[in-house]
Amino acid sequence: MTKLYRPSSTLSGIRPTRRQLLAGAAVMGGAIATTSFASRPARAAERTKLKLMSWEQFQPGEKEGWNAVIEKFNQSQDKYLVEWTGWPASQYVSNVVIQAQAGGIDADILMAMPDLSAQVIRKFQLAEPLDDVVKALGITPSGGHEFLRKDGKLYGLSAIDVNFALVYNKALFEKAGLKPAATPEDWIDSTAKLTKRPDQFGIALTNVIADSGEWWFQLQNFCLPFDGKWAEGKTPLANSPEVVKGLELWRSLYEAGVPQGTAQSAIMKLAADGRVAQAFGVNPTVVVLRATNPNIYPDLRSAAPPWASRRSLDRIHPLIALKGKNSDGAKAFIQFVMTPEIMADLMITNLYVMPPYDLAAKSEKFRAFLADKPWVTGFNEAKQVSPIDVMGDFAFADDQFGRIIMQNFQSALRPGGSVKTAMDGAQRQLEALATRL
Amino acid sequence: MAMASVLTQTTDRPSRTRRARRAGVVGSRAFPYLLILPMLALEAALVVYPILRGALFSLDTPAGLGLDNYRTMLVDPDFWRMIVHTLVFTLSVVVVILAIGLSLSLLMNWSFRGRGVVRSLLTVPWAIPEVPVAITFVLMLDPSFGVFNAFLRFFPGVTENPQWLLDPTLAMLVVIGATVWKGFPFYSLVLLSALQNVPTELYEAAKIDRAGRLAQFRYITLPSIRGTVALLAVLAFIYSTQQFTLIWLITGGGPVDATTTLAPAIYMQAFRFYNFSYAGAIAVVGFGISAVATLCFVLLQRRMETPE
Repeated sequence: MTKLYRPSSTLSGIRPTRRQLLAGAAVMGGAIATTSFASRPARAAERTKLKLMSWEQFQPGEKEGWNAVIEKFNQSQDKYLVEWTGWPASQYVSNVVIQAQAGGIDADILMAMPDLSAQVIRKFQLAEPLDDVVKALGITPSGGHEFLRKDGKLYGLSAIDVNFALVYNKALFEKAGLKPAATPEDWIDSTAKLTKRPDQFGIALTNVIADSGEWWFQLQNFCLPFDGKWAEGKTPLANSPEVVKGLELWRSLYEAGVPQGTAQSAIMKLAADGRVAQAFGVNPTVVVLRATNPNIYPDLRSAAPPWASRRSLDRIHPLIALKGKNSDGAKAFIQFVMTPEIMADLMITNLYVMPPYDLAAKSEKFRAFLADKPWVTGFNEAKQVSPIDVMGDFAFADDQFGRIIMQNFQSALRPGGSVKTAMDGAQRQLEALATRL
Repeated sequence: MAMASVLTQTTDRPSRTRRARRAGVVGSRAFPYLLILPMLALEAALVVYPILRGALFSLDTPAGLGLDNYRTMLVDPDFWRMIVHTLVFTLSVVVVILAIGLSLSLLMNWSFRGRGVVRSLLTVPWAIPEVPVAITFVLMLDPSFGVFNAFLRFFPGVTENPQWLLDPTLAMLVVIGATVWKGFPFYSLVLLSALQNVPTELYEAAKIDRAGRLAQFRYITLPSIRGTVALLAVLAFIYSTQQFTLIWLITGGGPVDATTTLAPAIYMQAFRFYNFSYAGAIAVVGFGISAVATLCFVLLQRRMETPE
């Protein structure tokens, strides 16, 4: 019988004991672990961490889109690693302002609401210009970016843009034989015709001070129908004829067809139930209505603001590169986000319809996405104005300004109340506020 | 035996010394202070320091430390309006909550079938968090769809739905009502336990003297529980002065600032308008008001404890 050659037999004399085997395994395991642990910090150390301060990571329906962008950025290069930081939207501005007042914001990239952006750029002077990013991408930022400019330089690029228009329920308008209004007079008239209290309301307008944030958000637009402004520099214009006429228009709509004294959440439910004919709202209103009642979505349309100038407030929430040792990384991230294909994916995932620049011209995918949204027309027809452009130096005290206007305006909504008298009162309080700005 | 005693002695000596040493520490005057030291440290870090820091903050002005915020406050008509609203709200809550609390505790002190169930049900408003309470009140008061108006329309003469949250007087009534509704079970239960401590012999003696129910209440019940009522009055005062959640969520301080009391005013100045130092000045005034109320209670209690 031929003996088979077994190479292992040469090692047969070196049979390890169980203890040696275990020790060997331990050494090997330790070596593997050491290698992996050693390589991990080395990789992390190579990458510079960039903190992105935002509220978007808490937003259902939007965080997924942003997470995908961050993931793509982190995979696209090996120099930077972007990580979230921040708070939910309700606590965001106060926390960022507290940090800024204490000397600096603990982040490299900041996403901000319009008034917060103005403070960060002009008051705290913590932002880096982004003109080289714009040049590198060859884009033309939308008109709403003007308030982000200082001394000719641009300090932010829109991450989320919401603007106002007339959102209406096509079915209710057709049933009443009406078309969306084009003038303030038509608007009051059609609102009255579309109202059958308490079953149907002609228009949804927030009108209780407990929802003050939302109310001021809408009411701020009502300086525009007659080409007014809330303030010019440090001079408030609350009792100017243009503003008074704008607020009288609001009061007429309120009397004609608003669910009076109803909380904003209940108004949105009424609208989703098809019991409100129109709303003066921002583009995400449509997304919220669709989420609440998908059946109403096919009937939703938008029209430009019903006044000659068609101007409405456009609230850009920009990405800002903060000054500091990582400002180059912050700019690299913003440039990545603004790339047409990345931005188009983000907008499609998150149902954003107002692009930060001429995106439709640069992305076929985005063009196709918009073509499928008949409710976008009115938002695109509206002429964009930044809240900062109508608030003068009060842009830094936007909340307080709004509170004074709303508190006084409420007295005009009571029987026999006068808008002019109410705004005279507001003007006195705002002049006092101006001395403290 | 001798061996045992030796062993006992040897083992006992150090333990006795330890015990003596321990008795020395325990018996010393410093011991109670040592025991409360951790709590004092916590109070100092989490209560006293923030109060002092807040007070210092109220002196912060663009030109350095000064009394500018207090000067602005004293000439600010909004501030005085807010103080008036705070007093109206607070005093109304104190009076109504004690009146309801006392009435219910008197009812609950009677024995009737199902008393235990009723007592448990009474605690329900106290157990519900303030946010759902506020949201429910807002929905119930809705002028178009609220259940309040649906009931109100049954009354003769009511032809229109009142705008509960848009009329300054009605809005103040609503926030007072919600605060009382949320808080009365606590007052009622504390008063009930005070009532149950009144010796029954006193009532029996009063009955022999042919005292009526009103006389019994006036000369026995009320004097017996007045210490508790005084304490509850101070607690109700502090509870309503600090009330924020219900007011903010129901009216937002409106309409026309009609329900802006101390706590919403501080919140607005600090976290909406970012006037932190001015908010600090208002908070110092609020602290002063609460401190004066507490001092009044202590003085009142001492006076009541002093034998006539």
